[in-house]
Amino acid sequence: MNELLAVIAAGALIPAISLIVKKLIVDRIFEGRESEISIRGKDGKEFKLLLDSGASSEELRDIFESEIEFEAEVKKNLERFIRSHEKYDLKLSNGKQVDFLLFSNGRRIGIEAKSNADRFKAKWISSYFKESSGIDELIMILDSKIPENFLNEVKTYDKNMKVKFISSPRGKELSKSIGNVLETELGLNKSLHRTSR
Amino acid sequence: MYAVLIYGFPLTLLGFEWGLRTMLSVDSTGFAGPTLAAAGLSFLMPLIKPKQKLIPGHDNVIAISKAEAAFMPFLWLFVFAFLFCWTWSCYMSLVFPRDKTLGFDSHLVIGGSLYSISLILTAIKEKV
Repeated sequence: MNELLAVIAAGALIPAISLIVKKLIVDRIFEGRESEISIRGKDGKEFKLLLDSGASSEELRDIFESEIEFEAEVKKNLERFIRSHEKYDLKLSNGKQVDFLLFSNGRRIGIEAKSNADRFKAKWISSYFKESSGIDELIMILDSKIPENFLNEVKTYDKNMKVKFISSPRGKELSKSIGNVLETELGLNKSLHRTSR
Repeated sequence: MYAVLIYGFPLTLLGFEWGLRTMLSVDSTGFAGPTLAAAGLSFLMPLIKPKQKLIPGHDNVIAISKAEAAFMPFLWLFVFAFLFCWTWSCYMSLVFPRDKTLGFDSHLVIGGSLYSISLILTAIKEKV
């Protein structure tokens, strides 16, 4: 009888310890934490985002698709901008790290579209310049308001002020904002000097 | 159901071992620790495979967690440590079968600890 009790005690203690550690330590450590997810498409393009720990595949899909949709929307507006400024010889191509590269008079401007600013780490911006050498500046187009702490964080990584922002909550006046900023940055229309920062 | 089977395995194994010992009057106690250690090690092996999050509807897209990538080297270390611990459990079972730790057979404590740690590592892997 004593042997049976010892067997039950040992057999119960092993999972009990695991469960206690899981509930009291592991679950608490990961509660509310966000993990960095790297997504690589078939074209080799990679982008990163922050995802809640334990988020489902469906949540990841929704975020991914919102990024893709906003990126397509930005591309459409950029192409429209280029068409309306044909005489300036602007060229647009897809980037590997950064979403788009805009070429104008020997200048390379990286353009990154983000539909979820809160899922983006400011320090990732510095990697765009490291990995995509030759980018003269970066324009970030956000589908939301720019959080103040995010802007402050960017300043710590962007010492040379090479990053400009376009904030277009829910795509509102996206075309107009892109036009204004690009005309200013490329010096296409001196009468519209306005930066978004 | 899966969790019940996984968490209930040590009790099931020790119950079967007790049944074997009682019904057939053979001393099979020494098998319990190394068996639990081997079971813990076998749980750990599938964790080494990087878990690629699937995005429904986007078959050609691969999503990888950075935390998981950072966790991988630790898992490899645990695999090697577990191999040595399984050897240690076998040694204790064969050479010092009556040696006790915390009131239990030492080989059982080693095997049980490995099993317990593997369950904790599985829980961590699910989170990263």
